[in-house]
Amino acid sequence: MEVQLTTRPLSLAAAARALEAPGLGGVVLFAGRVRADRTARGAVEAIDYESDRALALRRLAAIAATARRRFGAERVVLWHRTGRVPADETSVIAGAACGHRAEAFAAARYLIEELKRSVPLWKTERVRSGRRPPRRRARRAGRSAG
Amino acid sequence: MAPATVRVRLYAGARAAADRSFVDVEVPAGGLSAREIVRRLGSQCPSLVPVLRASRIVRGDVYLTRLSARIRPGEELSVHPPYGGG
Repeated sequence: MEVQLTTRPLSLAAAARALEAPGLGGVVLFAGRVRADRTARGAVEAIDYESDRALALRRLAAIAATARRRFGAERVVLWHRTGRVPADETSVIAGAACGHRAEAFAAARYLIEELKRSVPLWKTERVRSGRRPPRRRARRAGRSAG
Repeated sequence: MAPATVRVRLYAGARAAADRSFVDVEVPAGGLSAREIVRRLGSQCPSLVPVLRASRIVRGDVYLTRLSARIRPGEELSVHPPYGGG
């Protein structure tokens, strides 16, 4: 599947298989994982991701289509996990397979940057106490993944 | 008869600020501009005002780039705070 939002764990092996095709000389696969950052209230143990699902899926499909057109990507994967994602697990995978490496790097970079910029997804960190960090810290710590 | 309303769905920081996932805003039968609905939303939930300033307003699955669009009773809007996927 080219794009997906799922509550299930994301598989890098499955993403690599989805990018396989004869004649494609450059394959780039990016995975963003939840970091167990330390905050004043303890270590981040998970991130809760929520989405505006219908609109998010449309945006993911549009981004994938643009990557195909702009960079000549023959295969694309753009997957994001939603719900609670524990530390050290993968929250997002963006990958592209092209004829050559330069286009593959550019396409993968475009996929992840555009996802972060324009797909309605939000994250809330959960620290070890099981509570959300205060809002000010949550904003700053919004960089704990990807 | 129940008053005519537009339901405004709140995500992430907007939901946290209002402590609810949606707000029903009363509108006249002919509807109101999105701008006026957002203003009334802020009046109903003052804690939302700072979030609204930084958010995008979505009608169905279309971003409203101009808040002059007229929204009719029964339609839905969404408040999208800045995104944070990845």
